[in-house]
Amino acid sequence: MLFNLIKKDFLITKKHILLFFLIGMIIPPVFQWQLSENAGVLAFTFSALLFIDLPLTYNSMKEYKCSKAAALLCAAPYSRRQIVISKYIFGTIMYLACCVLFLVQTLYLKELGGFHIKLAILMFFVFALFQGIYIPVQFKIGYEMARNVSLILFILIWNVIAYSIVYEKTAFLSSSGFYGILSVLSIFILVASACLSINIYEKAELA
Amino acid sequence: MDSILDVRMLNKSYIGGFSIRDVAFFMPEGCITGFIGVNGAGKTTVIRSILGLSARDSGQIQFFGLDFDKNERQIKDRIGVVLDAESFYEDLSLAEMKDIIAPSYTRWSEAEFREYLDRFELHPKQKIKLLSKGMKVKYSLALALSHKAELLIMDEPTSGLDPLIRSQVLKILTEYMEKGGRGVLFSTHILSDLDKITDMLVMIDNGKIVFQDEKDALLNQYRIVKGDVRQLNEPVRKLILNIEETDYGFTGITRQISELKQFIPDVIVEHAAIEDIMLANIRKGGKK
Repeated sequence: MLFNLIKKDFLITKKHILLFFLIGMIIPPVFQWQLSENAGVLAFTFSALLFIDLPLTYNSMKEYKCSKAAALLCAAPYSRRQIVISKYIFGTIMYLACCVLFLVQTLYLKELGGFHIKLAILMFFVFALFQGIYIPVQFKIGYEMARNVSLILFILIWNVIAYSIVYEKTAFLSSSGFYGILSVLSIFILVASACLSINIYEKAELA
Repeated sequence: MDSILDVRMLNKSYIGGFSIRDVAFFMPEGCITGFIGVNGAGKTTVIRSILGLSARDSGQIQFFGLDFDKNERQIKDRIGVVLDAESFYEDLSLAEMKDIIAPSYTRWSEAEFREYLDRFELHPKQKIKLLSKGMKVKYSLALALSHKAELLIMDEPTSGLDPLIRSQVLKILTEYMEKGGRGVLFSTHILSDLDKITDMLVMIDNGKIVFQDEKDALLNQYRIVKGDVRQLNEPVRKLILNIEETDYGFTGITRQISELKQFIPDVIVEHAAIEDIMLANIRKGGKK
């Protein structure tokens, strides 16, 4: 049943899935062309942020426009918990798709550098942070306010990461235990966020 | 007669003042129950509360003798629901929307669904946003009827539909009961629909249940009365609801026709319609 809810999220965003992939394809070569140093990391960060932000916010917009559809789903034997979890899985699949896309691109754009597990873990943390904040906020205050939050998150996260990379404030990234802690922290953020979202949505008044 | 739905002491209030208070009614098995009330009376609030779409403040809901809170998924698997015609993802096709809803039901029948689509002249590849309101209601019905639902709950399904489509919908409900459906709860403010098919009536006004009774019993109880305005004295006024007076005559509705005839033997008596009964019981309609 969860599969069908995830499928629903893809169906309602299907018109723009191709656009997201195109954006993911274009960004790394553009970054590689414009920047010589750190092109790969910055490109993956930017495209990962877009791959996280755009589908989530577009999906939220569609749910907002068809808000009564959620009532029909909840009148069927779907639980609100399943509906919430499907959102997180949808976002995770989009993140993984971004990783695969970037991996493929690093195979033919050597200047981007390789795609390595540390980069994936770092971006997974970024993804967890973004999704972990955006989804409960969107359930609590609705799509229109939440999209402002997503914009702020996007700008904040991008600037922090870009600044750190460009100005070489990344010494901590070589620390051996850092990625282990980051992985655990990312999963913790997602689980805590999901629990919060479930708690919020189970009390929501459906249209 | 066993109850297929039992609502007890349901309370729900909203910020801003509107609330439903101590709502209690039951649906006997084998009946089409009309849930009536004017706009804003609380029909949709009650339906949303009993389906778990809106958290209730207090009250117990039982379907098929099972507590809703403890058996929610099992109960929803046995219920067909028709909500607002806009309860779909508009960009999807009929088949895509069905592919989302159908897997949640354990007794989904694809063959029945296709039959209903054919009967309603709907094509699975049609986009939902291109359907008219009547077609969307028919599609809702096709979804609700294709998983061997034992009970249908419908929130104003005929609102905004033309008479032809309304009669088609009502015919489908009658057929559903003939084919073994155990009950239909059908909220509406279009009372002419109820004359045709309902067995029981539950009326809500201003968040409270006003009455629950068999339709035929109600129609037998109430009478429209007309007479000379000079015959209206205090004892007579107490026996008549919703009096409308002109300079010469009055029209009203009464449940106490025998007592009234003792005061006005030649009063003109006519059968009352459900609409007359409902209006007589609404607070704003006049004397109760």
